[in-house]
Amino acid sequence: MNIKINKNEKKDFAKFGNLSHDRDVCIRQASKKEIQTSYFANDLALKLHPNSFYVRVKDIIMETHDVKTFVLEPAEAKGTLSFPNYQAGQYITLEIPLLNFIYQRPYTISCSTTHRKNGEIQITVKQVYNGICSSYILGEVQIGDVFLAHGPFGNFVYDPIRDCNHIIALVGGSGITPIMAIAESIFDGIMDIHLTILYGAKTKNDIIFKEKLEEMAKQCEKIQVIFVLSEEKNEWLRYGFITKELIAEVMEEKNSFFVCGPTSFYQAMNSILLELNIPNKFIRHDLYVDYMKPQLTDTFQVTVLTNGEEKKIVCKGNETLMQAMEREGINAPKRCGVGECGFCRSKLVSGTVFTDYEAVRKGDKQYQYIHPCASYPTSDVIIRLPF
Amino acid sequence: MKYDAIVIGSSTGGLVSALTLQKAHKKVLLLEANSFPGEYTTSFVRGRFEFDVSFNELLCFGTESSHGELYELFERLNLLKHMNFCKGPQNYVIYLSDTDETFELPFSVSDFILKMEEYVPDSKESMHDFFELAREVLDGLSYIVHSKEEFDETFLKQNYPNFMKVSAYSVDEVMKHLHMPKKAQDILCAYWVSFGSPTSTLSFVSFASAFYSFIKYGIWSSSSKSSSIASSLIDEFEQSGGEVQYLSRVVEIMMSENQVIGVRCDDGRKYQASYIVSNVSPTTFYGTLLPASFRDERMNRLCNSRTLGAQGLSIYLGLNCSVEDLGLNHYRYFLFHSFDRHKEYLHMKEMYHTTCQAVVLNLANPHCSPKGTTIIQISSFYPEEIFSKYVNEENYFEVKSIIADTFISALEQATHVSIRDAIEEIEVATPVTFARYGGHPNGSIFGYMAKGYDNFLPRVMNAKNENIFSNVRFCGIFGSYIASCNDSYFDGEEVALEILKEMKGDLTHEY
Repeated sequence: MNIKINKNEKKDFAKFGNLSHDRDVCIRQASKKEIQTSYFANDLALKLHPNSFYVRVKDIIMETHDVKTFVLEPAEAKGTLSFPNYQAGQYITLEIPLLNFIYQRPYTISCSTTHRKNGEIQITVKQVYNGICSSYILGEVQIGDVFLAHGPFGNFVYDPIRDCNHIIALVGGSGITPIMAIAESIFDGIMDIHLTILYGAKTKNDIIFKEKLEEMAKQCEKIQVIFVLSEEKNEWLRYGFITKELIAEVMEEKNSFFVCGPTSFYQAMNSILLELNIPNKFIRHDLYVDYMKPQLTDTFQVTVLTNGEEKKIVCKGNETLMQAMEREGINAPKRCGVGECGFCRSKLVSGTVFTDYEAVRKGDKQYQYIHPCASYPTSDVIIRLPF
Repeated sequence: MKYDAIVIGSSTGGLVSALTLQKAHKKVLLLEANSFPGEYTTSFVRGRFEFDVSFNELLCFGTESSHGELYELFERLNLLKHMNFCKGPQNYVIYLSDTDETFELPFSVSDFILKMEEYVPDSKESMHDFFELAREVLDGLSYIVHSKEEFDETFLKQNYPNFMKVSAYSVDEVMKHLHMPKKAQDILCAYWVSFGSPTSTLSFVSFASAFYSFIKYGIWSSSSKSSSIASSLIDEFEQSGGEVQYLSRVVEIMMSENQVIGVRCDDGRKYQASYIVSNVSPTTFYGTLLPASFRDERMNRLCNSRTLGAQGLSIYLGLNCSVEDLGLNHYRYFLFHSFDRHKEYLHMKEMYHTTCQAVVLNLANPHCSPKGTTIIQISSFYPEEIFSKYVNEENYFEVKSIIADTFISALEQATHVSIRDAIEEIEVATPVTFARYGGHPNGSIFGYMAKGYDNFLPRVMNAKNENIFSNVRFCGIFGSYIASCNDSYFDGEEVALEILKEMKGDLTHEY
């Protein structure tokens, strides 16, 4: 073939010869004004996902004998003027400086975004048995204290395309926090869905947000709440556990189940949902707060490679590599603390670990990358941190 | 500690250049701002699904019998032992919503021409001409890329005269002269949407060479996740002695006497190197990372002469049905209103448009999701910044849902398949998401727009004149090549080879 664009093909050949020169001319004729450095999408990304921000404790509310809600406001003195927007069900992490080490823990935001618009957010913290951070937060933290925070993170959120218009929240104990945020969002008119909360607790005194939930249910027909007590008989409340029958009773034609509670609770609920033939699509889980821990009590040697250094520590078979590093003062990158976000993604140079978490990517499995915050050693190991 | 080279960013281009340098026994440091490698070619997990961020299809991979250039590159990089690859499906589909018309086009040049003759009688001859021209264009380009500035114009004129004659023209300008029936042109040019530039400014040589490879070789992909290519590049890099630091965002270029000597990261650490390979755009490099006192008019003009490319938009769907149950028969769909490309491009400037490509991943790679499930990815772009008019921090999540909803409806209309009820996992990536993870201005996924003198050939031919610092090179989507995953592989290697050549020739270096 012989193509001709110009009638005189010499002109086309000439154009080829001039490509570089013509481009050069274009550049030389371009504006010399300073290069644009601010871009809308990048600025919005930074607003929604700041590297970090500061929170100041504005108020502390005693919820139950071992649970407190902390009302947080932007720490203006530290330069944080507002909180990033979030979706009901998400969490933030707080950096908690203790005993010469900075711990980082995830806390679910337990209020709707209406609070954020009014310049505050809330987290609700329960005393964890032997928990270093929860003990400190519940025992020591006072109004005026300031913390560095990250986030918001998490996918335990309602999605209008994926989820049904009726959510049945299956809640065990302190698992109420993300559901509280969803309930309040419905109450405030931010979300237009129906919510039925089945809330299992030991005794009436262990129910968090009892009055608030009852009040919302009373005033808003889209919200329904049923408390089930396992260790106290009370003439106003149900006794026992959340059962298949109870769930079947509240089910409508289409339901999405939002499950949040301790591991044993997940297991119980999962088997009921399986019996009820509920497909995966309709079941959302919040982060596992505690895992199926291996029962190994052996102690293993862990060599941590970071910053060109090599640090040797010990790690018990029933603690995560992250817990061991925290104990030994090694500051590994960390966010969610439960294996989901991948921020601590590290290379397992040698040895073996146990994890029952599935969020590790195929390529990472192939090349032995692990999430130390959800990995228990099953031999001596060498790991290399992200830096 | 001084490195031979620091590579900023682990996009495919960065990974290939880092590995190429490391394999030549240079001391290389790769700095990545995220906790994972691959930039836009990484993957993420939602429930029981793992989604690749980009299609990351392998073009130019070749056939079983004849290997393409990309296969050969993977062979050079020693990647083939890490991965298995699978050949994609036999055809792709164009759907026009205005007329509810569907066109199925097969891969392989001869089948394509035959099928086109069915749709457009008397198109055969011009179609032959097009592919012949496209092939010559590909060969001509290949010659220029490999011989760099030292190409021989007489040789080119003898061997690839048609390539030279079309080299300065856009797709539209050349198509007018091919004596091809209009409908055939329209069907053929539907592929433009893969470039993020309209056919009125996209150079014919970029389009024709890519389309030729697309049709000739079809689509290949990794039989694991596409992100495993980035993982294996990293592994090979580390095995060769390379050093990677994650969560290390470069925030400043370190200078000494007007020379770039290294970088400073957000955690305060500083690294020195003889060479810098930047996946960060020239716009960000000169405008933000370089200390203000070293910026000059030349850098400003260089960046201001260019237009930022289109911004990314992707919907990731994990469905709880198999492709058979859903009744989806085709792997890749191009969704348009009509064949009017100009109108389509304008349409894409609207906030909630429906022009997109969609792939049913399981039809290329049956093992990409658990048994009985399907992954669909819808991919599109905004030609220019539009979010600032409609989106803010308060309505962002809502906007994401509307965008997803609009595309899903469009795909349901095109496929006549109900997808919505099967959605078990959904994720939406907007320009904000791409800006967050890639860091590029306004979440551009195509680098600078391929337009006029900012097309592939002039970029490559003028590259040397545009090096402001002799020891800094750009690669990845903001490199010289027209941005697409595949080109970034080659760009990454070219940049590394250039540096190696300079290191060899430069006696002031201690090599």
